[in-house]
Amino acid sequence: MSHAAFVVRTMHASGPRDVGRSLDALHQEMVHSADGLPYVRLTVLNVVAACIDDHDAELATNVLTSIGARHPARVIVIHAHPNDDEESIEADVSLQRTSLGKHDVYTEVMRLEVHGEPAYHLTSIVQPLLIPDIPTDLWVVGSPRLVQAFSDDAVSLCDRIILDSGAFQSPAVTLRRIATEYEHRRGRLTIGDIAWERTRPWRELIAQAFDPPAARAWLQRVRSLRIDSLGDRPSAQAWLLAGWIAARMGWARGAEPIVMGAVPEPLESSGPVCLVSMSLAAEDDIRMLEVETLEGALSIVSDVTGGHVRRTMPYRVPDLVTVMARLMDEARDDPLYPEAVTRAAALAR
Amino acid sequence: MIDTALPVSRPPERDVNPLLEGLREARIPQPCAIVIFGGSGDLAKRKLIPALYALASDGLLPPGFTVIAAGRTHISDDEFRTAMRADVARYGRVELRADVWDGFAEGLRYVTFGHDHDGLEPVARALREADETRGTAGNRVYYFSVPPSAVLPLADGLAAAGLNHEPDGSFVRVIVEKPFGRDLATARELNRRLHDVFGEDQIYRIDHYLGKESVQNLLVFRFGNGIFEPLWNRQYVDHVQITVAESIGVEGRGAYYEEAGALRDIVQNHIMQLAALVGMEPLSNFRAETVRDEKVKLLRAIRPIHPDDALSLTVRGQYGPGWVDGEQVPGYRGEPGVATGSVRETFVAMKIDIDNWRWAGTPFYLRTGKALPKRATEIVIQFRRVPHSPFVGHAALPAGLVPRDAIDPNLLVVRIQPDEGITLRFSAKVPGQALRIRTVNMDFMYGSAFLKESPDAYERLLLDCMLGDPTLFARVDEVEEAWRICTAILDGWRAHPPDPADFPNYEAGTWGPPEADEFIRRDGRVWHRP
Repeated sequence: MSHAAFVVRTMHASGPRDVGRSLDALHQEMVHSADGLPYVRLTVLNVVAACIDDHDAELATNVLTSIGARHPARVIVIHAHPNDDEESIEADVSLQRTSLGKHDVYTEVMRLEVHGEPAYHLTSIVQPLLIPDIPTDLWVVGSPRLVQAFSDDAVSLCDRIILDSGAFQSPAVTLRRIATEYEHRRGRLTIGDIAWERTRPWRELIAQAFDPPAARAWLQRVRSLRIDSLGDRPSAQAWLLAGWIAARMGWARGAEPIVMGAVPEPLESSGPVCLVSMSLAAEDDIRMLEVETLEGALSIVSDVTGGHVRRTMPYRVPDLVTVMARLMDEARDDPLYPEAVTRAAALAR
Repeated sequence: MIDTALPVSRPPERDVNPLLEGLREARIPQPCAIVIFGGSGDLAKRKLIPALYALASDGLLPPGFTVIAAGRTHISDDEFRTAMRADVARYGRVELRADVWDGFAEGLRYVTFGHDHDGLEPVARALREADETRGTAGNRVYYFSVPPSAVLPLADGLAAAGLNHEPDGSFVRVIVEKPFGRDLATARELNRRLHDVFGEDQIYRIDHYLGKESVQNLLVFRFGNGIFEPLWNRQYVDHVQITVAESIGVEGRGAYYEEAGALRDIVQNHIMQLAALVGMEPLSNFRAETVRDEKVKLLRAIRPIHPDDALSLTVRGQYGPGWVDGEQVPGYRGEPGVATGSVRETFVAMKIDIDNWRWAGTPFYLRTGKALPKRATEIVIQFRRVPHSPFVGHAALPAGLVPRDAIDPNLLVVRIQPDEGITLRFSAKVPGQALRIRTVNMDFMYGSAFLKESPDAYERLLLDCMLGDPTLFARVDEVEEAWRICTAILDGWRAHPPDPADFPNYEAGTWGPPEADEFIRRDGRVWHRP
């Protein structure tokens, strides 16, 4: 999915106006460059990445340039230092090129370090730098305080807020915060949740198992759901999966037959691996549907239609680049997410 | 551990899968078995089995999915599985994974068969076993990957064995490959006899061109954009060209090609389908019958060609020896299975007129050939020239005066293969003091725009058939309308056979006979060079 991007040219700028001028200068240089290839600007969206430390800023820059070929964007990475005494806005502006055979795709990257008071007014800095008439995603990188991400300024700046509910210390608190925002803004908020996107292969596999008419009837007999995830408590992905199933199944609030399990993480870092297994069982426990992660695969075992059937799908836990690219494939809100996160927040209380 | 186990209060309705609602990519058929007649043949090993495996790998096949390959050769299930594993590794789009293959291979069977009732008993037995042990519930797809002469005997055999019936709640579908007859009369007879055995809604006539992403994108391009459709008519379009060029020769299929020829092999199906998609009226919805109704309306509007006009409206060609891709290739008459004095056409260029409000006076030029310089399938919409050039006769423009005829018309090129994409050609000023105009291309490359591997056409079409979606398959009236046009040409050609001394009339590695260039030049136009 990702393609290597190469920095073509970088300019340093001080102040927002200088950032715009630097970018224009870079484009002019490219038009007059002597490599003989046409210089084509193609930009399909603005992405503003809000970061609270150097690590996150580096991560955001790498991820967004890696998917630049698939989603050519104007990338604005902002690292805010609101506690600094001295006020300044310093920026590195660069063009990054990804070569695709005969074609080159360019990503415009502005990396801003905002110090002092201006760090409390990021919207005013970003607004002039956005390309008009194309969508804008605001990516809240890492686990900052969500109060700023959900401020009126931030919500009005962008068409969608991208975050990872799984990145925060307490999944339950985070999910409740998101659910509260949905309720508060009533249809005026679009969220792309990385943790939710990571549950997609699971949701598809589970849903497909019940598509045969004979299997649908079995849904009426489901009496328990168990989800296990890695960590010392149920993860955001696990709650979201549970919330989705509970909402889709029409289970009454407070009466959901759900068991959430936590499996200790192995010593070596498991990265974004999170969901371990899921099982649905009928009241007699005779017929079941189980999904679990195996080595490089998702396996589903079902005997809901009488025959014991196993399906195995290749599955590698996608890296962040892949997940972000997939999120950006869908510019619109996922209609299932609001009800899933709202239900997950209620379950996680 | 958190335990919130309580009784369920409101179970979902019995016939509804609430978990599938709202998911964006879930299209999965009901459990079924596919029987590939000709299961040990080339198409099965190069295309069908790899396509089915790719669907399995993408998680798009239902639980219990079963493949029954029915062939003439005697091999065991295990031998067949071993051979198919190697073929999937060799020809498949997706990487072969041991665990996915093992799951797929559990449902892979091989049986020998004959066309009569007894000969089909092994197939019937395997289907019964699949129903009992794998839950395929009487749902079957029969893929006829057999020679044209075997299609009807096989259909009759299935009927005699009772394998064409759809028990309550299950489906039986049959996929039939082209050629759908040799002319209008034989096509009608084929359809009539197939209808004795299967309902039209059970018959899926496959044209793999329609499974290509770029062909489907043509509909999105036309009807998903507001700016093109207003221009898509005789007012703005000068003419349309559809080219299906192949760089290969007949490659060992000489005997087949002697019977078929380029008109039957390519024009009657692929090119007529593309013409219908380019020319049809906007769709009110994307239901299969709506799409096919509109295609048929377009095909019916193609002006009938009287056999006496066949020579003036078409050009035939046959390739001689030449060079393609830096390699010397033999002429058609030098291919195995081809008569030394053959006058079979390997190239056709033709013009059709469409008698409807949208296209009256805007001809469609169609062209196909073998042993051409490159493999390319494309549709070219050539717009009318500007009505007047303001860039002439003005003192302020001392150099580079540009008369109207020197301004190239706009072109919209839809490339079906290879390098699927769309190019818009327009005029731009060359920077400088003088007024010079040159054309520039704005390119949309399918692959580089989405960087997502498109499914193979067979994957798409096999899945559609299992899902019961016939949108991308040819309906009986489409086939017969296309034959109406082509049969008149065949009749005219038969009445005026070419002198064997006139063939071959183009060198392999060229764009066809010079007569083809002259043919379009007479109308003041030129062929677009793919």
